[in-house]
Amino acid sequence: MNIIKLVSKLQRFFRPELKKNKAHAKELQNILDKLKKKQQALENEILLNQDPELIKLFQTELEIIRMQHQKGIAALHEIYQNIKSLS
Amino acid sequence: MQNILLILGVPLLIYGFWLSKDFTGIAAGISIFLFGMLALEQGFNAFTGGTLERILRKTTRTNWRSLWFGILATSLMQSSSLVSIITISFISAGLLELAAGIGVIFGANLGTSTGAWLIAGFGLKVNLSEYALPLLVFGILFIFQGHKKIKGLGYILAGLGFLFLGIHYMKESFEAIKETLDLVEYAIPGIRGLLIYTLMGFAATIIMQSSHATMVLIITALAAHQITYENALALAIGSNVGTTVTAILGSLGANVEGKRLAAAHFLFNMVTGLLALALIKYFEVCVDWVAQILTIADDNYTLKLAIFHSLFNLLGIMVLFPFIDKLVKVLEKTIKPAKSNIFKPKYLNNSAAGFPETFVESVRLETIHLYENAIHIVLKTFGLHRRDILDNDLLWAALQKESTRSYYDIDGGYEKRIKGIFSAIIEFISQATFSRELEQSSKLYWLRNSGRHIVEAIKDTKHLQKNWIRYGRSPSTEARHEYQKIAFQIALMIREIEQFRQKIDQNELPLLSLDSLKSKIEDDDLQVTRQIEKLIREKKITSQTGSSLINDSAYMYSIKSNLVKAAETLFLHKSPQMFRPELKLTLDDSEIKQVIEKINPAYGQNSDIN
Repeated sequence: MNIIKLVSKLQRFFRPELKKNKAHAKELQNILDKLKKKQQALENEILLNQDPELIKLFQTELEIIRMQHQKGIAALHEIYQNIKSLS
Repeated sequence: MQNILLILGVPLLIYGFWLSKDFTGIAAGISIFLFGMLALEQGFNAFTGGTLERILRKTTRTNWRSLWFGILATSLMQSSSLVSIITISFISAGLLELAAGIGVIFGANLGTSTGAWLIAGFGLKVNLSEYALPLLVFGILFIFQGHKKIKGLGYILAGLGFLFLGIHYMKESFEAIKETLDLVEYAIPGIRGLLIYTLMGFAATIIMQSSHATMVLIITALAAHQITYENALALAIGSNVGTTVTAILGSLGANVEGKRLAAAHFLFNMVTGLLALALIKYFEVCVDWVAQILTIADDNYTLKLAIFHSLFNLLGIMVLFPFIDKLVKVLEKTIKPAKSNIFKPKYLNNSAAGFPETFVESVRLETIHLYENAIHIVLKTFGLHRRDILDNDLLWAALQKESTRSYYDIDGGYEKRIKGIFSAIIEFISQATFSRELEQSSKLYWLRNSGRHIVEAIKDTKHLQKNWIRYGRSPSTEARHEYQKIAFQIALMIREIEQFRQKIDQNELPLLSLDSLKSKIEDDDLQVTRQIEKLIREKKITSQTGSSLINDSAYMYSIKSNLVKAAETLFLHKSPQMFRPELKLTLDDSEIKQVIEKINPAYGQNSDIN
C-alpha cells in the first residue's frame, strides 16, 4: 500500500462524518433505483390498461413516485455537497 | 413461604452465630457471594436494552444455535437466572419461539458448570481476596459515574469482587471449622445418603435461590474435607433440581409461553437429576475416566465434582435435545392459554416488562390488539363483519342490507373493548422501571400516539353514526347512496391497511408506499365533495342533506387518516434507523395535495372546503 492510500484511509478513519454521509448517499441511491423500477412498472401498466379508473389510480401513484424521486435527488445532491465540503 | 423461612431462619442463624464464629464466616461468605451475584446481574442488566437482545435474536434461529447461546451467555455472565429471565421475557413478548427458548435453557444448564470449573480449578488455588479488593475499589468507583454503561461495568467488577470475597470467606471458615467440628462424621453412605443429600442440595438452592451459590458452598466444603465426595455429588444433583423452583417462581408473572418454558426447564432438570441418581455408579466411573484423560489427580475431588456436574447436564442435553420439537408440542397440548378475553390486555405482563426491547414489543402488540378492537367497532357501526370487506362486490352488497342501519352501541363497545386496554397501555408505559434509551423512548411516544389516533377514529365514527342511521332510512335514494359510499370507502381503507400489513415483508419501500394510501384519502375526499356539490346543484339532495354529508365526509377523512397514522407506527415497527433514508422522501400533506391537484385539475377550487 502506498503512502497516499494509507493517508486517505487514515483520513477516512478519523472523519466519521464523511463515512456516514457516503453511507447515506449509498442508501439513498439504492432507494432511488427501486423507485425508478417501480415508476417503469407503473408506466407499463398504464399503457396496457383500458380501465379509466385503474389508469387514474396508477397515474396518482406514478405522480407520487415522481415527487418522491425528486425529493430523493435533492437529498442526494445535498449529501454530495456535504461530502465535497468534508473531503 | 418466604415469611416462614424468615421466621425459622433468623433464630437459627442467631443461634448459629452464638455457637460458632466459623459458622458466622460461612454464612457471611454465602451472603457476600449472593450479594455479588445480585450486583453482577444488575451490571449485565445495564447492557441489556440493545446489544444482548440483538445477539439473542440473531443467535437463536436454530435449536443448536440457541443451545450454544445458552452455554456461552451463562458461562460469560455466570448467572443462569439472568439468562432464564431474559429468555422468558423474550418468549412472553413473542420475540422468541418456545423451541429456541428451550434450547437456551438447556444450554444455560450446561453453562452453569463453568462456574464449578472456575471455582474448583482456579478459585481454590489462589488467594481470591487479593483479587477481590482491587475489583471492589474499581467497581465502586465506576458505580459512582453517571454513564449507564460505566455504571454497569462498575456493578460487574464489584459483583466479581464480592463473589471472590464470598468464596474466600467460605473457604477460610470451612478450613477453620475443621479444628473444632468434623462434619464428615455426619456423612451418610449408600442410597440413603444419596437421597438425603440430594434433598439437602434441593432445599439449600431453594433457600438461596441460586444453584451457583450452592455449588460454591459444596465445592468449598469438599475442598476443606467437610463433606464426602459421594455426598457432594448428591448435593450437586439436588441443587440442579432446586434451581427450577426459581424458574417456576419467575414464570408466574409470564404468559402461557413463559409458563411452558418454565415447565420445560423443570422437566429437563428433573430428568437430568433422576438419570444422575439412577446412574450414579456409572457416572463415578465416567468421571474417573475423564479425570484421567485431563490429567486431574485422583484425589482432586473438587475438579471431579465439576466434571460430574458437566457430565450429567451433558447427558440431559443428549437425551432431551433431539426431542425439543416434540416437547414443544406436548407442552402446547398440556399447558393451554387461559381463554382469551378480547376486552382485557393480552401482552402487558411483568415478564415482558423487564427489558427495554421486550417492553416496547409488548406495548406494540397490545396497541395492535387495541387497533383490532377498534376496527371491530368501526365495522359494526356500519353493520359489517370482517368477512364482508374481503371483496368490493360483497362489501357493496352487505351495505345495501337493511340490517346495516341497526344501531350499534359505540359507547358500550368503547368501554368494553378500548378504554380498559388503552388505560392499561398508558399505565404500563408509565411504570417502566428501566432507564430507556432514546430509541425506546421515541418508540413508546409514537405507540402512545398511535393509541390516541385509534381512539380518535372511534370518536369520529360515533359522530358519523347519527346521520348514517338517519339517512340510511331516508326516502332519498341519493342521500342513502352517498352514506353507503362513505361507509364503503372507510371499509375499503381498512382492507387496504390490512393488505399493506400482510405484504409488508415483500414491500421493498413500505414507508414510501404509505403515501399512496394517504393520497387515496385525499382523492376520495375530493371526489365525495364534488359529488355532493353536483347533487345539490342538480337538486337531487337538499342543501341541509348536503351540509350533513360534507360534515360527515370530514369525519370519514379523519377516520381514515387516523387509522393510517396508527398503522404506520404499529406495522412499520422495525428500527427507525432502517427507515431513515426513506423518511427523507416521504411526502407531507401539502405535497400530497399537490399530487391530487395535478391529477384532478379542478382540485384548487375545492380544497378550501376542508
